[in-house]
Amino acid sequence: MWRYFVKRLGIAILVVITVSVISFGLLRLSGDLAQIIAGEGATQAQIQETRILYGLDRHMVLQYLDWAGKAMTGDLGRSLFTNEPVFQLIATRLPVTATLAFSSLLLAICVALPLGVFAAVYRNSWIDRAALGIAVFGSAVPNFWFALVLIYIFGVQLRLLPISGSASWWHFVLPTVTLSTMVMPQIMRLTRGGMIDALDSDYVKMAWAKGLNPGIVFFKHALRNALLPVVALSAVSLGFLLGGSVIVESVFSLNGIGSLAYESIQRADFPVVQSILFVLSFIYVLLTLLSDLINARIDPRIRLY
Amino acid sequence: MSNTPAPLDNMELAMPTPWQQSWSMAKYHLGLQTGALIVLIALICAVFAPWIAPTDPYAQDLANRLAPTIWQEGGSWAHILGTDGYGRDVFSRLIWGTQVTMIVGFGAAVISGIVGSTLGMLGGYLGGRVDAAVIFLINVKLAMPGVLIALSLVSIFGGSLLSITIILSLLFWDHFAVVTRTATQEVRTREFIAAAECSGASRSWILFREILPNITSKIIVIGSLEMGIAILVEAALSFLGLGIQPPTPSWGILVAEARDTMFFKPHLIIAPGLAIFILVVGINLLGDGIRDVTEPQGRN
Repeated sequence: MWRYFVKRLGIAILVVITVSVISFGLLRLSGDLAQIIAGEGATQAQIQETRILYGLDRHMVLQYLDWAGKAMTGDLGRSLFTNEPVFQLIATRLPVTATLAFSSLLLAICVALPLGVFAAVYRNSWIDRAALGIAVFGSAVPNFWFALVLIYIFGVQLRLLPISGSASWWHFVLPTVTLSTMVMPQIMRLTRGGMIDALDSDYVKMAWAKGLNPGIVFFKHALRNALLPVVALSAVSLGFLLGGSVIVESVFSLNGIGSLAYESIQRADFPVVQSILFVLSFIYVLLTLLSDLINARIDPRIRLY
Repeated sequence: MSNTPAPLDNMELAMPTPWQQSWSMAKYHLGLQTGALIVLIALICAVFAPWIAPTDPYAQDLANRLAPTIWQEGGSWAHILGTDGYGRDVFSRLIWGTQVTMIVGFGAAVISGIVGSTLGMLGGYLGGRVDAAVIFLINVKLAMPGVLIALSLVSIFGGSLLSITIILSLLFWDHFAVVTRTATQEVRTREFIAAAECSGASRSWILFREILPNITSKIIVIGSLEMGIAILVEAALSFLGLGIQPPTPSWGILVAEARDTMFFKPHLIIAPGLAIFILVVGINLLGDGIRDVTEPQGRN
C-alpha cells in the first residue's frame, strides 16, 4: 500500500512541475511581456525600464525558478490589471466555481447512478432507452446553447428562476443543470457498463444460485463492484468541471474562477491566467491522487501494483 | 471425374469476408444509417455552400433587419429563417457555418488522431521507458484545463481557421493515445507479430503494416467521438468571442449574435444550436454504428 502511494505521489509531483513549466512557457510565447505591461505608446526606454523592473531581462530558466519558488510559498504575483495579489483574486473567486462544480457533480451522480443501474438491470427496456437518450443528449448538446434555452424557458417564459449572478442558492439551479450535462453521460455509461459486466459475472450467478434475494444481489454483490471505476471517474469529473465551467459562468454571469480566467485572457493579464492554469491542474492532480487512494482502499487488488 | 475437389476460390466465396459481414450488418443498422445520412447532408452543405445558400452570407440589408421566418406572419421564401440583426439571411449563414464546423471538427480529429495514435502505438508496442513517457504525457495533458488552454492559445495565436484547428487538436490527442496503446498491447501478443519479427521486419513495418490495420476501426470510432467534441468546443470558443472571428459564420458566433435578440426572436438561437446538436448526434451515431458493425462483440 505504501509503495503504491509513494509511486503515485512521485508521478503526481512530476506532473505538477511539468504543468507549471508548460503554463509558464505558454504565456511567454505570447510576445514581449514588458511591452504589454508598459502599455501601448510606451517608449523604448520605458519598455526597457519595465523589463528590468519586472525581472524580464533575465534568462527564462531563472525567471521560471523565481516564479516557482514564490509560488511554493503561495505568492503567485500580482495582477497586471488591478495590481491585486493573484492568490487573493483566485481565493475570492474559487468558492463560486467550487460550489457550482460540486453541485453539478452531485446532480450528475444522483441522476446517472440510479439510471445506469436500472438500465443495466432492465436491459433493452424503456428505461434503458431513456438512459441512452439522456446520454446522447448530454454528449451532443452545446452547453452554452442549452444554458440560453434554459434561461429562455425558466427565466423568461415561466419566470421561475433567476438567470444571472450568485446571490442565492436559487441562482445556482440553472448553471448546475447546464454544467451537469457535461459529465452525466460518462457516469451513466460507466455505471451501466460496469453493472452489466458484474451481472454477467460468475460471483453474481453464484449469488443467484444461493437463492439470495434480488436486492442483495443487485446492491451488495453487483453494484459495489460496478462502482469502483465510477469513484475514479467522479474525482476526474470534478477536476474537469472546475476547469470547464468558464462557458457556464460567462452565460450566467457568475463570478467564479472561469470568468476570472476569461476576463484575464481577454485583457492579457498573464500572471493571473498562468496561476489559474497552475492552480486548476494542481487541484486536478490532488483529486486523482485522492481517488487512487480511495480505490486502493476499496479494492485490495489495486494495491498489488 | 465427378468427385474432383472444388476449386479453392469457391470455398473462399462461401465464407464472407469481414467487409461483407460488416456491410450486411450495416444494412440493418438504423443508427448507423441515420448518422451517415446526417453527416452526408452536412458534408454536402459544406462542400456546395456557395450553390445551396440562397444569398451571400455576408450581405447586409439594414432596411430588412430581423425579418420574420417563413412560418411567421409576413415571412417570405427569400429568407426562410428570416434575417439577423444586420439583415443577413440566417439560412445562408447556417449553411456556410457547416463549412467552418466540418473543417475544424474533421481537421482537429485527424491531426489529434495522427498524433495520439502514433504516441499510443509507440508506447504500446515498445513498452518500457517509451511507454512510461507516453503515460506521463497523457497524465500531464489530462491535468491541464483544456478549454482555458484553448482560450489562452487563441488569444495568443489568433482565431483563424487553421490556428483553431491546430489548437483544438492539442486538446483531443490523449483519448486516441489511451485507446491505441491498450489495443496495441493486445495485438502485440498475437502470433503474426512474432512471425513478422522473426522474418526480420523493421519496427516501422510492424507498427504501420501489421498493427495499424488491426486497430484502425478503433481509431475511427474515437475519431468520430472526438470530432463531435471538437465541433462543440469550437462553437463554444467562437461563442465566447475567442474562436473563429466574426463575420465568418460559425454556428457558435450565430448563437452569440442572436443573444441580444433572444427574448423576442428565439428562433435565431434555436436554429444554430439545433444544427450543432443534430450534427454531433449524427457523428456519434455514425461512430457507434461503425463500432457495432466492425466489432460486433464490443457493444454496450
